Formats: sequence, structure tokens, C-alpha cells
Amino acid sequence: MSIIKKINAALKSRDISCAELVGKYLDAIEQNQDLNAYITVTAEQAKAAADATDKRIAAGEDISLLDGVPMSIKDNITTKGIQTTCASRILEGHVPIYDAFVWRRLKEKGAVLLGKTNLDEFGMGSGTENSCFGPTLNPHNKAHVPGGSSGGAAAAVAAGLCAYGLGTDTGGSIRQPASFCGIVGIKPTYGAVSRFGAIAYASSFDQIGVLAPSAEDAAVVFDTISAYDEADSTCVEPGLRGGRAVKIDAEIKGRRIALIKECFNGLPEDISSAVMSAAKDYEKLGAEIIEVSVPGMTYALPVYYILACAEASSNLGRYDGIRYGHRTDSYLNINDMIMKTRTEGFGDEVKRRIMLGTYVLSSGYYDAYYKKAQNLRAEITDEFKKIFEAADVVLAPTAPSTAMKIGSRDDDPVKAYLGDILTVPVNVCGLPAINLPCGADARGLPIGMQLIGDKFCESLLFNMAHVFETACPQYSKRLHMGVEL
Amino acid sequence: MVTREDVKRLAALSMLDLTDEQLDRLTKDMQSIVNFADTINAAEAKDRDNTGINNIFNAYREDTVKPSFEQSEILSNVDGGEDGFFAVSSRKM
Repeated sequence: MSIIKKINAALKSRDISCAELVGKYLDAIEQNQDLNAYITVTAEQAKAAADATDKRIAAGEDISLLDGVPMSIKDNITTKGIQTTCASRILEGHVPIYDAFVWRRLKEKGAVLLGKTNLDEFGMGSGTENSCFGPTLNPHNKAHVPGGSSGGAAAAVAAGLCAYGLGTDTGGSIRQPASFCGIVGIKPTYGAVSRFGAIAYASSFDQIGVLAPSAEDAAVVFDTISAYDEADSTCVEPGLRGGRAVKIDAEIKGRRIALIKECFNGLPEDISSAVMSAAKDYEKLGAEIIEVSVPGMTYALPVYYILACAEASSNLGRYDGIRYGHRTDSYLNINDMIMKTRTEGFGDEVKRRIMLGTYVLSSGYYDAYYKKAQNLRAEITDEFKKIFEAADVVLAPTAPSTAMKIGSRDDDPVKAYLGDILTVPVNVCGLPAINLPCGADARGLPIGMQLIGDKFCESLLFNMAHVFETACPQYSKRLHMGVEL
Repeated sequence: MVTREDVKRLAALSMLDLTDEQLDRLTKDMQSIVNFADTINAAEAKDRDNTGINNIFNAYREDTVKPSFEQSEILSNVDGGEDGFFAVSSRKM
């Protein structure tokens, strides 16, 4: 059952006050500090917000579903008056002067912010090991990474240190940690959620989404944050979104699910059999399985790294030590100041991606890399568009492995990038996709699968995920660490 | 093939100051990443107009005056600045 609905019912029936509830969450965060899920805990603000909810309840107001529900925000989404760092030394101590659109929307609904969650610096990484605040641990097994880059959010949700978390997904950064931590994570259609206040990594890929214990929870939050915002010029007006609203508990009989052949190439046996068995479960629920091929999939990963790094090199040009963030102590002139500031402020992975982006955009290489990758991006998008003429959704594994051991990353950056091979095609095409748990490996670490939809078909994804969760509850393994309701 | 000299030039363009050891390491990394990026050479792709996203090409709005930030807020992340400006000393040792 949805944790948000449970909390709402408990608050409305006055089984628990919001102040007590928030106190429990803050205690749980304190007791599980070793997970390093949070960079900043906003205890005072959370208590004040809880008191406001309690007053509304005492006054007999009909509170909304999200009112008084304790949640977290990834530390690359701005929160006015609360330190926002992107887990980078270059933004240490940076206090934004405005709220991200998504946080403003949730605050209006009475959401209670518990804190800002850990991530790979600027969202660049897949294990939350590239954080200047140290790695986050996987609550299922603390020797393993929680995935990334929204690893803090995924660990916090899985361990019960918040009811849900906001994250960002540029190349898989919501779905892959959701998969590693055995929870639900939705990466919305590009343009469905305003990026205003999401600190940019790669602007044509970045999208804010939700990490939550169930599809129903993710749907409630998504419905609130997916309103139109003129401050993000790529946010699509609701009237132009198309897509059909599907009820979350609608029957899925007759739905056509496509399996992409290329997604299963070289996949470990336990992961492919978990996903195939989920496909059989869907068949039992009345869905029809078809097999399709997307030859362009092979190129999605290099296309992603070329374009995302090009955009990153331009976006991260703003960090010059002049207006906010870190500034070096001693320098000879202004260029020296900027150079030293950036060199001290950025971590190795961020430097690598800035350098690659600068390379593919430099004269002589632009056509061969950047332009070619743009053209291929359009080709792959067309290939996916064709799938949705024959199928309602795509079912695929989310990651080619379960959670790795902390510190086990290969020295070769390309080998690390290969872990993103199954998630990046969705971002390349701007499609929505949801991760949900579908099993565990021999060590008990969660295995995740993703349902990919056509643009603006989030409600169908929530429906397909919810029906699966309800019919096969054995996959949603609850941890008993944080707050029990 | 990415050379050490290329990496040096890229570092300067990226406004990054790298030590010799970091240059060696990054040269190796960049060679591996660029080799990987080169796999797209094998793909056929015709030239396309890639300027729009979700069929949005421009997003216009009325040019109306709205309340903005206070100067003190804008300068709050640099300890207030100097006389209402962002200030950088020409040299600081």
C-alpha cells in the first residue's frame, strides 16, 4: 500500500500528530547516519512545517494527500535558504535565493522537507561514490553502493528515512539507484516537469522525477510536480502533451509489452531470468508480449556521453568563483583566480566530462562527434517511436548488474560508463520510464526492471507498475530500519 | 589519437590547471573515452534539423515587469560584495 496514503490516513484520524511523525523520521535519520544518505538535515524547518500541518488538522481543514508527508530533495535541486551543493566542493556553503519549481509546488501542498540527499557530484556517476561528502551506502548491504547519481535519495527511501524523494535523471540517475535499492523510480518525459531550480548538468537530458516505495506514491507526487511552468522554456503545456490519462488500477488486459532484443545481449543470467519471469507474470495478468529490435541501441551510449558532456562543459562554465560558491585563496590575476577555483572545486569525474565536452565541441571535431551524435539521437528516437506503433510499453532490465561493492569501480572510465547502457536510451529519446523491483540476486541484492512509455504516457506506466506490484508483492522487499507505519 | 599536448590545450580551454601527473592520467582516460566515442563512426545517419525539442522551437511570453530579487539577496553568496558589486581583487596572495 502507498506510504503517502497510510500517512495521510494516520494524520487525518489523529492516530499520530505530524510533529510526532516527523520526530520519528528525524530519529531514524540520526540512527542511520552511517548510510550517509543526507548531506543536510533540515530538522528545524521540518518541525515548523509539521506544526503547520498539525494546526491545519486541528482547525478541521481537509488536508491534501501530501500535507505533512516527510520527504527529501536531492542536493542538486535548489531550496531557498537551505545549502545546495551538488555534492561538489565548488558549491560548498552555497545557499540558493530561490526555490525550484517542484519544491515550491510541494511546499504549497504542505510537504515536510527532512533534508537534502547525497549524489554523485553534479549527477555525474552511477554509484554516489563521486561525492565530496563521501559515499552513500546501500541499506540492503552496506558494503555495496546504492547506485547513482540519486543514491542518497534511493537509500533514504529504501531505509525508511523519508516517505519519498525527489531526484534527477540525466542518464539513469533515478532508475538505476531505484533498481539497486529495490524501490520505484520514475524518470518523466522530457518537458513534463519544470527544470527551474534543477542545477544543470546536461540540459537536453536532465529531468526531475520521484523515488518512492510504490508506484502509487510516485504517481501522487508526479501529478503535483508536473504542472506547466513558463520559467522552463522546454516545459510542455498540458494541452499539447497528448497521452491518455489511465487510472492507476485499470485492467491491463490486452496491453502490448515489447521486449527489446538488444537489451538482453550479454546480460547476467539472474537479471535476464528475473525480467523474463516478470514478463510471464504480465502475461498471466492478460498482457501480450512481443519482441522488437532497436539496432540503434548500440549507439545510444556513445551518443549520450558525447552530447551530455558537450552540454556539461558549457553548463559548468558558470562556475568561476565570482558570484557564488568556492573561490580560491590566492591568485595572480582574474584568469588565475578562475582557473585555480575550478581546479580546486571540481572532482575528477567532473573534470573528465568537461574535458570530453570541450574536445567534441572544438573546431575540427564538431561535425564528427557533436553533429553526428545529434543526428543519431534523432534516428534512435525514430526507432523508439516505431515501437510505440506496435506496443503500449517496453519492458527492459534497468541495469546490467546489481549493486557493486563500494570502491570496486574499474580504473577505465569507459567500463564504468557501460553500466549506463540500458538507462541512457530513454534520456536520448526524452521518453518516460519507471523502475520497479522484480527480484534479487544470490546475495539478496535487488534486481530492477524498467517500463518505458511513449511521450507523456506516465499514467500508463504507473498503472502497469501498480498492477504488477499488487499481483506480485513478493518483489517489493521492505527493509526494517527506519520509520514503521 | 589524443595526445598529451591535446589534453594540455583542452585543459586550458576548460580553465583547469592540471599537474603533470593529472595530465598523464587524463591523457590515458581521454584516449579510452574518445576511442569509445569513435564507435559512432560506424553508424549511418543523415543530416537532420535538430533544433527543436518536443516540437518546441521558441517559447515566447509577454514582456511584463515582475518583482525581482533584492541586491542584498543577489550578493548574499559572496558575503554581501562591495558597494553593491561583485568584487574580485586584481591580485591576492
